[in-house]
Amino acid sequence: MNLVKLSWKNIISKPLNLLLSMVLFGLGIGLINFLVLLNHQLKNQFDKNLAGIDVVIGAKGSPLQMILCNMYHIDNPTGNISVKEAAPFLNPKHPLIEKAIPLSLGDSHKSYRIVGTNHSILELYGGSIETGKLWVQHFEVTLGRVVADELGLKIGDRFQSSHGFQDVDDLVHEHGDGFEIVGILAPTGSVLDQLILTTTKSIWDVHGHEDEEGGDHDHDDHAHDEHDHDDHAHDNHGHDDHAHDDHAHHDHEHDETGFNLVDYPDEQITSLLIKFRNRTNFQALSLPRNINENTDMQAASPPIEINRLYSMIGVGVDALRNIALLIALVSAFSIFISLFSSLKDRQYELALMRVMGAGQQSLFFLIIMEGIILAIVGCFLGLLISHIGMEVLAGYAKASYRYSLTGWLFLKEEMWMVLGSVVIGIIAALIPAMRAYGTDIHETLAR
Amino acid sequence: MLKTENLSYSYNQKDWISFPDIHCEADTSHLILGQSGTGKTTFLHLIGGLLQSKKGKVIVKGTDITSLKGQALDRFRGDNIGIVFQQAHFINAISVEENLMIAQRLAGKPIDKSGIKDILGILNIEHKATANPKHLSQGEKQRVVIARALINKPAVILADEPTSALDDKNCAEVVGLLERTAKDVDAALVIVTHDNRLMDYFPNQIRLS
Repeated sequence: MNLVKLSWKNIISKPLNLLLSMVLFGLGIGLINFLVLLNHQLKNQFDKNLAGIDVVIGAKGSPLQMILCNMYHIDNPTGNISVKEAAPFLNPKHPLIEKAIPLSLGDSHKSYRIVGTNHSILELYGGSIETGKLWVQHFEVTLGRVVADELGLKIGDRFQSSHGFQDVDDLVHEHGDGFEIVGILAPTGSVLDQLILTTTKSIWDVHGHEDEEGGDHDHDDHAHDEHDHDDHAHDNHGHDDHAHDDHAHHDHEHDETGFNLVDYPDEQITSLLIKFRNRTNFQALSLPRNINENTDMQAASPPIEINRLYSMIGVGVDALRNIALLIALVSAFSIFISLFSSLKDRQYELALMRVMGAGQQSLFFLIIMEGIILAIVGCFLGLLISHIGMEVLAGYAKASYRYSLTGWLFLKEEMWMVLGSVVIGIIAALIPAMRAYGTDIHETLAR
Repeated sequence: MLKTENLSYSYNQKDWISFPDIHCEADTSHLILGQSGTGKTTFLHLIGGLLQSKKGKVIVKGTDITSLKGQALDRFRGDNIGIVFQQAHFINAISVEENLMIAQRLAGKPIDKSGIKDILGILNIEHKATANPKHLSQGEKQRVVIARALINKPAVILADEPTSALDDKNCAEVVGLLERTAKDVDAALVIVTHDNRLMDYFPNQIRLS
């Protein structure tokens, strides 16, 4: 039985006071820590998925939507661009562009997106094959690790893709034997883990085939079409000034599959992910503006758009954080009130402790300790709430966005949260502790 | 064991109350009698070091406690003086046993569970060791208070109206226990009271006026 233990016993002898302080403090800390956790994990995910991509080129529309769709795979495409328009950027001898990776989106399997592209997408995310091989033939697919794990797919399995990005049965394509899984990638921790990779031509074929069948789906709601791209698809008017004609065909490299995208100028893709040779080059910096002004396509810089997103979310986050701080303040006040009011009942007790040999500083310490304990208990409740909340959100984010968040990531910032709580506990207990320090034993006991 | 010399006290620095010099050896009992308002509690608090006067001396076990300050006084009191108050107060959040442990701890002594068991046994309330003091009867409470005053084997035991809330039977019992246990630890017992029932028990009487 020492003073710390006595503080604890004093606190649990008043369970309602404890509960009130705990719940208030828990809510405040919980909300703050939840925001910290969410912010950290989202930023981490977003940053990891930036993958050194300097510019994304796609159909005109919302640049943020285009970035979210083509880099983070969480929004719908802004539309399509014709290969003919994209061709100049696919030229390996382009003076500014080191790498241009074409993406064709629009289909999914059990809401995991199927991406028609070439093997250089792996270099962006540091992906490598774990089992099997990379996709080469049409209708061969290689799965990101999460896809394989979550859907329990293995090499040799086949599946039919479905329209759009939702898992809806009546939008499933009937295309021969469908896609065949030939390989599974090693985990990268990036969005690559969530993708099903195949050839560009496979994506075209799924849809071309359907057209032959008479198109049992309304093509207007097809992802390839849904963002009405009539204005850029029907012809190629008015950008002769831009350096793209047919001269460059022989310069384009055939990819691993022996397939050369620019041989199909009338086909469409969703976007190009561009990596510059030198991202500080002045011409490179002005390339997006040139594209936006002179073509029917748009170009957007991922870091700029993501920062824009952060600043948009930031307002809400700031408001929430302020509310959380307010709750923390109120809870500090509740600790103060609860300690202060308990002093009245405990005056005799405290005087008695002095009689038994406790110094003034011991009583001061006792009350401060009670403040600290109340705050720490509340803090741990708050941390628990935030991690559970994060885990709940993780489940939701996984179902809706295929985003892997977790409630069981602990940050060192949380240590600061505990330390901050201790400080708040001390401050809240300061005045009651000073009162206890000043207890006049003679007067109290003579009453 | 306990000696006072020329002790007087003033609440307003004008009117001084003077107290008689007393001298109590170990193993002796003294009764200090007086009507309300004669400064009984003030005297007891001065002797117990709960109140300090600028005039006079209080010597406990050879130490003039009027010269002690702050923590040193608190420690000395916890160590050498056991006080039984009129009303039985405890730290209500903890059990009887733990109240005695905290008394040991606050006096800077090691926690001695068998000592606690012994003293509760002597006072016949061993079975209430783990009970919360709130749930004890008046007589039981008074015994725990005595146990707490004795637990550190003080040189002096001071009792302030220890029997005023008790009926005759309990009164006799408590007085008997106080006297006997004080002798057990070789302490000087000083009882401050206006309870005339006690006059028969204690031959050494000092009257305040």
